[in-house]
Amino acid sequence: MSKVFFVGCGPGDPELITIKAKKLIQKADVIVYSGSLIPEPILKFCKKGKLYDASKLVREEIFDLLYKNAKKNKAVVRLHDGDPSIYGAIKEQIDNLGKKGIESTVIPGVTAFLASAAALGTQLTLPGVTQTIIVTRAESRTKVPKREKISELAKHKATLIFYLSIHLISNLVKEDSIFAIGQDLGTENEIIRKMTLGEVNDGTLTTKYFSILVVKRV
Amino acid sequence: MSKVFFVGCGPGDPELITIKAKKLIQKADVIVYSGSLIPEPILKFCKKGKLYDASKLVREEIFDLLYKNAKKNKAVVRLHDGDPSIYGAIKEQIDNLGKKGIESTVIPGVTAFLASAAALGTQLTLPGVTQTIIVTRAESRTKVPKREKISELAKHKATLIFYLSIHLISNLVKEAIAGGYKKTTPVAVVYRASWDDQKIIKGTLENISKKVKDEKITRTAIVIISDVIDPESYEYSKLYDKKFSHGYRKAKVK
Repeated sequence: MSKVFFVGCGPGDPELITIKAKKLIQKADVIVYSGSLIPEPILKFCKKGKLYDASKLVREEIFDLLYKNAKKNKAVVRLHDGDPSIYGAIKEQIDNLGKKGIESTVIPGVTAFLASAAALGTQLTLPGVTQTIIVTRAESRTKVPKREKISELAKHKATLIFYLSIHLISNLVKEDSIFAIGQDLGTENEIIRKMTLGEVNDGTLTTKYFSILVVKRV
Repeated sequence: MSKVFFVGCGPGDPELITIKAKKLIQKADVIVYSGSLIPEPILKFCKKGKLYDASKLVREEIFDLLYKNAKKNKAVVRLHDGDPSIYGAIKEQIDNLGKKGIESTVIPGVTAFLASAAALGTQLTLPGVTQTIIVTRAESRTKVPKREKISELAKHKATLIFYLSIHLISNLVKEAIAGGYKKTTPVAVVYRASWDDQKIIKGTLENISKKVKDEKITRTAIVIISDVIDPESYEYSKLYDKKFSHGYRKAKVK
């Protein structure tokens, strides 16, 4: 049966990809990848496939590329950064393919918040501190339901993790909680900073869009 | 410098280990692993190392094994299931080693809830449904703070994920409903995600407890309560919308 693989390529370091993902990339005839979020060395695993940069395409073009190639029984990989189920827009793609009789398989990957915790050498829950991890994003162009407001989520005083929100950091943190920021994790340019809000605007922090922020009580 | 690697081996499928983790296991002199949670084929990556089953040891014995071998400059791996930062007791080990001058490095892995989402073929957040994922556990021997009660966490109606709690499924359901989820909210239970004997059980808050009991599942399962599993409707992403511009593409339609 015609099939598309939705593959998570991990957080950045090409050695933090799974064996399964690497094999699928190596064997692929067609790879549609999420632009600059996919590290160059990972694209180089692709030996014979044709590469398409999804960041230059709109939804309908991506649907079409995946469908037409799967229909021809090509080995088709849709390559997502991190893990496809975490803020990856896979469902609209899977549902569209499903309607046209194409099956999808998702290959999980190491998502950036796990790489961030590893870089910090920390556990995300600790007995006597918290047993809960909340992963969310600040509202910008994508709306966040009111019942998920940061100030509401903050009431549990759990480990609070933000994706796609670093540009809104002064909204996120209004007290001097300790938090950590990771950028380009697992690559040569990796930056890890622990700081308080007072230090955020000291000018040394570059606010790149794709960073991870961990706010913690401990 | 003497060093210990805390390595996540992924959810079960030996191909869902990272390349880095596999290499570290292959080169290790000593591996202390988390008992039956580590799949046999992953232990077989170990070519020359001595294997110790941590499930048969107490904390002090583990500390000692890691310390003594690192001190001798052996390549020491502490192998955890899934990802070490998710309910893995790494901090006590890292802190103990740190006090004695041994450095630790953590290698992240694919944790079971990601493998569960992949098995379900679902996204854990969906525009128009929820943008938040809450990972927690039901209280049993490990206490959970009151402000993290399931009925409190349920108020956000986000995607609610439980580790280590399948044996308490009827409590989870009761509290989730008390917190505000409709009885018809979809629930998925993924038993041994990515292992050969993986099982997926889907239902709603109303009927999932019975289904889990009928399947006699009492351990090693992830519970996901969320409308994302079977949404009545959802919105398409902004990122790939033709009316949306971003750093790498101008809007194609105004």
